[in-house]
Amino acid sequence: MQDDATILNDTLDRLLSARVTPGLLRAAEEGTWPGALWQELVGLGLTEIFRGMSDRPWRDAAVVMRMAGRHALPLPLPETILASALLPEEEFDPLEPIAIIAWEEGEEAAWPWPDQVRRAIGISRDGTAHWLAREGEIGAPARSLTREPRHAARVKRGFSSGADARLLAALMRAAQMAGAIERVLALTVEHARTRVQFGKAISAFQAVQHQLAVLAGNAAAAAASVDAAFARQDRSEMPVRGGMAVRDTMAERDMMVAKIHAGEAAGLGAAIAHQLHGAIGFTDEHTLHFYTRRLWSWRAQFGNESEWARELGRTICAAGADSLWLAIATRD
Amino acid sequence: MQALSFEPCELGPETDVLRARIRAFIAEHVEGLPPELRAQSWSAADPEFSAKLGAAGFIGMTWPRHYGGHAMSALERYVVLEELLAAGAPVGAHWIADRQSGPLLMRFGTRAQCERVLPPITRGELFCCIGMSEPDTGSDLAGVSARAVRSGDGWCVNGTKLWTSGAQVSHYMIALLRTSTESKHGGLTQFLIDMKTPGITVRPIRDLSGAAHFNEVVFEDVWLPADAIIGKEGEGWNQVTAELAYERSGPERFLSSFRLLVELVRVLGQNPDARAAVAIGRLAAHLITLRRMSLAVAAKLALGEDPALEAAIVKDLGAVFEQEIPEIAAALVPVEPSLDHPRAFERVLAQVIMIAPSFSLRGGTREILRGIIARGLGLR
Repeated sequence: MQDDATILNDTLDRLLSARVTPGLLRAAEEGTWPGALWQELVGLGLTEIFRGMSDRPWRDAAVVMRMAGRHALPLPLPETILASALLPEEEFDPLEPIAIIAWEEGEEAAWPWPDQVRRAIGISRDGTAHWLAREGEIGAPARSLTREPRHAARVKRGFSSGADARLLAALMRAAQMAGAIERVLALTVEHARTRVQFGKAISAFQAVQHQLAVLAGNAAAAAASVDAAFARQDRSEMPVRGGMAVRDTMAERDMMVAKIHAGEAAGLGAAIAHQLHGAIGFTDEHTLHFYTRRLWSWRAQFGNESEWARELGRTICAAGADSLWLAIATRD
Repeated sequence: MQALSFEPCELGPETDVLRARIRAFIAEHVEGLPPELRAQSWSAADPEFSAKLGAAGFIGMTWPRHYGGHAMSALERYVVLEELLAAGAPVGAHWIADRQSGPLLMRFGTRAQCERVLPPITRGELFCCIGMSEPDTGSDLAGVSARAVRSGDGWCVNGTKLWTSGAQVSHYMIALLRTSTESKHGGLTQFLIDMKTPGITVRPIRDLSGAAHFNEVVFEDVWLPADAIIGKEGEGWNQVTAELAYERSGPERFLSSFRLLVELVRVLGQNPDARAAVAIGRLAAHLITLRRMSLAVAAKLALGEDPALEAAIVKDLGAVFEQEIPEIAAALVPVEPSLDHPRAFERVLAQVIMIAPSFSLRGGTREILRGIIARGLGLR
């Protein structure tokens, strides 16, 4: 990681460690918008990554998205950053939180933070992105496992683009998952080193050590696949803003790979973390669930790992057995 | 908790020419070989193939020219290795000499040792094996008991090495021997042993697949000259552990059953059902990521860093992946594996099923690797 990205990473880690407390997370899940924190994050220029001076905006976006996942940030910051890359300049206001949601034409939307978030990008199953505004009364609750406040809502559709925005949204979730898995690993290592049973820390047991080694390996694979997909976005010559008219098949491949890996590591990592935490990690009082509930939710959003694996598998099989290696052995 | 990092690594455009060269070599010398032989990949020793590969300049690629090398970068070498492995080239004869023995000698050996051994390695004419495990010493390697005792102006060796891959075709062994019983780790020394020395008996051991890749090597009063020592007396343990990142992170740690994946895609056809497509897509995703992680380790090694922890992760994940391929292939294609079936899939499946147990044993067992990772996490 280069210096400016490291500085961004460390600054954000310190800030979110101080601000995103269990108290703030619990209040957010009961419907309190952490408005002061939103102002502070916007004030740092984080929603303007794609309009700033950085020559590698996707790398910087990845840092923020991972940190948001690492701290279970209960604000649509990753979504707003991705929206800034997708929307035409004149539609984007860096102060305004924007959601990115799954949405099909003619249906009501499951709309997060309906009192604070007025506009969203709705992504349909075929990959089209629709610019949406919320209309009318707020409907029934439609919470996900993240417990982010979310309600049924009627929408007014603005323009649509033919872009494959769904993969970019999947990549955003993959980055958040990579961050949350890192946190889950750190919490579990800490627990294993401090929890004493049979007269010793449970980290002394090989059965525990090996489970954590599996978790660490899968966390590293998820992070590596996410980093690679973002690095390719910065190299890709295909414009994202206003719709990707031309497809970059290598970028698509890497985004699929990232969502597949992060999703698998999410399932496996959450299971290992809960097993090693024992009953305390299953309680509401403990903080582990802030991360594992998000992992279970994000894993399913914008295409789960089977959906993207099927897509990738079809492409590979269509090219035939003797082209398999050619699809793997690329230079970057 | 030690920080892990697998930085994305790009191969330069200069590697395209090299990749085209090795692909042309493979088209000529590998593609006509039987699929079940290609499925054995780096386990299969073929000295004639190694000589052709050496003559074409693909062995000792990163070594200096005065030792017969080609002064290329580690990442250029990586491109050649992954192409050979993906094609299932029978690279077993020279594999260890190229990967480990040459670099070890250049790092710790004398100039005379290098001049004697390295040039014929690069020609694909001289092969090496590694004498580490013994009948009572496997994962607990520091328990080595084969002894070298001072005798005249040299050393006298007695003991037995076991599971020594390729000893029957090798010209030299790099052996880890006990030179002192006062310290478990500090009493070990590495020796360069000419396999023609009187008193050495090599007994091939047939494995469950019917092949005999590994061996028992017995030393009975084998006399070695003083200059057989590699590096320093008593430094064997440190020297051996310095090799491990090279041994554990290469493309051979995730491509061992790649030929079966190719045959599986062939049998599934160009329009597979959803279940098969999901399985192939998932395996491809894992392969792409393992390769990235392995390349990231190669780039670190090239910078002189010691990514031992990252290498252990690549090998652990790689072995899981290599062992999943036969499981998934057998689940998707309900046929009986057969060594003599007219279709390649059945033969390759049979071959890979039989060798798959070794993937998580050789080069550090799964349990040892996970112990190393746990130590990196600060658990022990």
